[in-house]
Formats: sequence, structure tokens, C-alpha cells
Amino acid sequence: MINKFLSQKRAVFCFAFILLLLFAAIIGGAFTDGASARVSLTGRSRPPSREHPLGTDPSGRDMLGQLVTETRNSLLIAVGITALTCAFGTAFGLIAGYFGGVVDMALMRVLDFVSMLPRLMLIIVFVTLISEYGPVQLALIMSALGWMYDARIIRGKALSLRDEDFIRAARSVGAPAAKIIARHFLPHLAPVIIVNFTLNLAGSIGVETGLSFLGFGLPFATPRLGTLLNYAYVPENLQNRPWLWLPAVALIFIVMMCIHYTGGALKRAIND
Amino acid sequence: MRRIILGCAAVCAVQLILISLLVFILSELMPGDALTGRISPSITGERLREMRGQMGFDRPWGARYASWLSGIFKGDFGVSFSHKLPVAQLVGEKFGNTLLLGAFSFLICYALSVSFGVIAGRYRGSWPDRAVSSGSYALMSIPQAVLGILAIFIFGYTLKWLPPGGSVDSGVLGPLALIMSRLRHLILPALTQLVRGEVAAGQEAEYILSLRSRGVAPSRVFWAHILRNSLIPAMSLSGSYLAALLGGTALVETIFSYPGIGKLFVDSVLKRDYPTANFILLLTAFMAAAGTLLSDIIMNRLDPRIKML
Repeated sequence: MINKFLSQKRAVFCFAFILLLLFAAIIGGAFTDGASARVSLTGRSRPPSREHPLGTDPSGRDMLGQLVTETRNSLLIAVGITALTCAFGTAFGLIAGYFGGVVDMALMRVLDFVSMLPRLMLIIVFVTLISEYGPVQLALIMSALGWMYDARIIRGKALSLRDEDFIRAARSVGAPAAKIIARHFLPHLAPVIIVNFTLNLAGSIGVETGLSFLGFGLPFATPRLGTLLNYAYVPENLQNRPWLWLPAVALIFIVMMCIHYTGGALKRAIND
Repeated sequence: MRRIILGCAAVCAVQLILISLLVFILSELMPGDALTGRISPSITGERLREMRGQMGFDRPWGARYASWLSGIFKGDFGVSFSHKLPVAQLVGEKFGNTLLLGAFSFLICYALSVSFGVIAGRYRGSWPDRAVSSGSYALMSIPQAVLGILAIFIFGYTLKWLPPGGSVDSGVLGPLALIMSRLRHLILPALTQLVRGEVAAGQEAEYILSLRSRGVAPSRVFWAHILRNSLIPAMSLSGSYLAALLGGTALVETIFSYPGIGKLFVDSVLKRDYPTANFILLLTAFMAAAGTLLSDIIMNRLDPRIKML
């Protein structure tokens, strides 16, 4: 499987790029945190210059330094949200698929119900309801409403796995369900879980970006790439100050494409 | 057939009751009630309790839920806090705009998917196939906010080909000019609505790929077979598409300041106008449920092999 993935050059390049970007953002973020937060009242919303290669924001802060910090926060938050979503979805799918029958039917009804809910709107409502809003709360809300895709796929794979001889054998000697799931199902489903994680990562970044654009993102204490997109909410910025939002837009675009190619290649690698 | 429809409708009804409970609980959790902003600051606590009693806020939640639900069945959805208008009237004005946008974007999606699917199938393995396959995955992966912002900047402000926002130009005269103006305003938001960076990647790109497998026939067979068969994935998509579309309207309509229910929802939440926000939430979920039911029925009609429930 790994060889199959490595043979797809474009995907390997994309994967390396994401890792490199994350690495650079973490290292760079440690250096720029202090310097880029400096407010300058005389240099507000300036276009790119030699001193500030990407210009300054409406508070006079250096955009390049902010971009580094924000890339780091965005990627880490997206990874956290995705991890939680995948954990929810995988657990749900495993239980439905392992037990099958009535349990499966009941759980699938729940899944259908949650899939029908208007996700973005409900996230917005929950975000306005809770008083303490931070990355953890956002991750909980988003994964509570976004685990269905994972669950559906894992459940399908688990259903076909439960009739395999080695699973029947394990069950016939009286192994407890938790043990069979942990020892037999999880290792077999690991490639699927990894692919789901990759594909979901792009989705998490997408939703988080949209929320931030609308102004329902995390508070300003955690600046993210979406925070920069929010500048484009003001027509004046959108029309005349592209340096405020264009680098963030380009970066999100590239990151999403890279995640996609990586996910697609992983998917092909496990299917063959 | 009738049994299947009844079964689906029953599931749908249970789902709707659950949704209404969810919306009711959410509205209970929201700070403030229908009196907020309507009373003078100098009101005494006694008088306030009395008014709340008159409006029935001191009853147990079960009774309030029942009266709220029966109000909905009678068509009474409450009064908007900020617009001082019946919510039904307020939302009704915007709902048509949202439906128009949705229908337009679904048509574009269908036309593009069929034509690209056929092209990819015809030239399987060569560059057009690869271009369509990777292109559809790539396009589907862009977040709507990102694509919307870029579209407004490039086509709206820089090239000035299309209007950057709104639903119709002011001062347009004559029915034809009005229709043209509306269509021009639909193009950018409808195209933006096609991308689905928010959904786990590639779910819908698979639709195009499933069409690809049907695209190998010669052109004479096209209308008879491919198009008819393309309806099945299109219909199975339309249900989830409707749900995703209505859920996503909040974002797309806000980006393009398009006067639909999605923009109204975001504005209502920002202004803490809960009756309006709740109603839109309920309406959206209802439309999604109805869409799923409808696509199940149509799918069953088109291909009886597909089992329901």
C-alpha cells in the first residue's frame, strides 16, 4: 500500500508540501508571534512595501508575520477537529457494523436524521449559544454535526468484515466485542480510517473558513486564515485592498488541493 | 409503491417532530424572549412577571412546546423581534429568491456533470478524461468562501463582467430587462454553490465519475440511454444536494449579499432575532426532509431495483 502511494509522484509532492508548510509555520510562528503583533497607528492598511512584504492590516500589523501564525493555528485546529470527527464517526460505524441487525438499523436512522440537519446553520446557532467559545468547543460542535460520512463508510466495511472466518472464529471462542473490535476490526480498517481522515481534513478547513468569513469563527485570540478572509467581508477591502485577503485565499486554495491529491492517491492505493 | 411512499413519509414525519423538538430546545436555550426589547427599562419586576404570565411563559415547557407546535400547524410562526413583522411574511419574501438560486445552480450542476461525464467517458484514459477527473476533484475541494471572494474580485470588480452582489439592478425597466438582470445576478452565486469544500471531499465528484462509466456509447445512443440513466445518480444526488444547498445558502448568500433566507438567517442570528432564525432553521430542515423523501420516490420510480428503507 505504501509503495502504491509513493508511486504517485504528484500526491507525494503534495503530502511533502503540507508537512513542510506545517513545519515551517510552527517554527516560524515561534519567531513571528511577538513581532507581527506590534500595532502601528501610522501604518494602517498599507500595500506591500520593502519593510512589510505583504503589507499591513487595518491595525498596522505586519501581514507576513500574521500569515505564518495563522497558517499554524489553522492547520492545528483543522487537525484537531478532524481527529475528533473521525473518532466519533469511526466509533459509530464500528458499533453499527459490528453488531449489525437491529442495532445497525437504529443507528442508521440516527445517522440519516443528523445528515438531514442544516449543518452550517446549526453550528452558527450553537456558536452564538455557548458563552465560552474556544478551539475545543468549536471542535466538539463541528464533530457532533460532521461525523456521518466517516460512520457510513466504516459501517459498510465493518459489515462485510464481520462475516469473515477469522472474526467468526474469534467470536466462537467467546472473545468480548470490545476486544474483537480493537484487535481485529481496527487494524483491518486502518487504511480506510487514514483516507477518511485526509478527506475530512479538507472539509474541516472548508467549514472553519466559512464560519470565520461570516464572523462566527473563533475569537480574535486565535487568529486563523479565515480571520483574514473576514477582511473581504467589507466591500472596500475586497475591491481595493487585495493584500489583506489574497495571500490567505491562495494559501487555503493550495492547501486544500494538496490535501485532496494526497487523499485521492491514498484512496487509490488502498483500493488496489 | 404506495406502501413504500407511506413508509418513507412515516420516517420523514418522525424526523420532522425530532427536528421541531431540537429547534424548540435551542430556542429555549437562547437568552431573551419575545418581551426583550419591547418593554420599557423602568418596568417593575411584578408587572414583568404578570406580562410573562399573560404570554404563557410561566407554563411548563411541554405545554409551551405543544402550543408552539400547534401555532405552526395553524401557520402562526411568531413575530420577528427586529422587523416587527410576522416571520412567515418576512421569510416568504426571501424564500423564492433562495429557491430560484438553488434551482439555477442545480441545473448548472446537472448540465456540467452530464457533459463532462460524457466527455471523460468518450476519451477514457486520455487527457480529457484525466483533466475532468482531477479537475472535478480539485474544484469540489475549494471552500465556498474562498471561491466566492475570488469570483467577486475577478469578475465583479476587476473585469466588471458580472454584478458583485444583490439580486437585481435598481431602476431596471421592462420584464425582459428585469429577467436578464436577475439572471446576471444569479451566475456567480450559483457557480459558487456548486463547489463543496465543506463536505468531506469528493462525495459528489463521484457522481461525475459514475456518469463517466456510462459515457462510452456512440452519440446516437446518447439521448436514449445515457441521459435517462444519468437521471438516477442526478436524482439520488438531488435530495442530499437540496439539504447541502439549503444549509450552505447562509454562506453563499452572505458572500454575494443575495436577499435569500440564508442571508436573513445570518442577519437574524447577529441581531438576536430568534423567531426568524428558528423558523428558517425549521424550514430548512423540513425542505431537506421533503427533498430526501422526494428523491427516494423518484429514484424508485426510475429504477425499481433500488430498495427503500
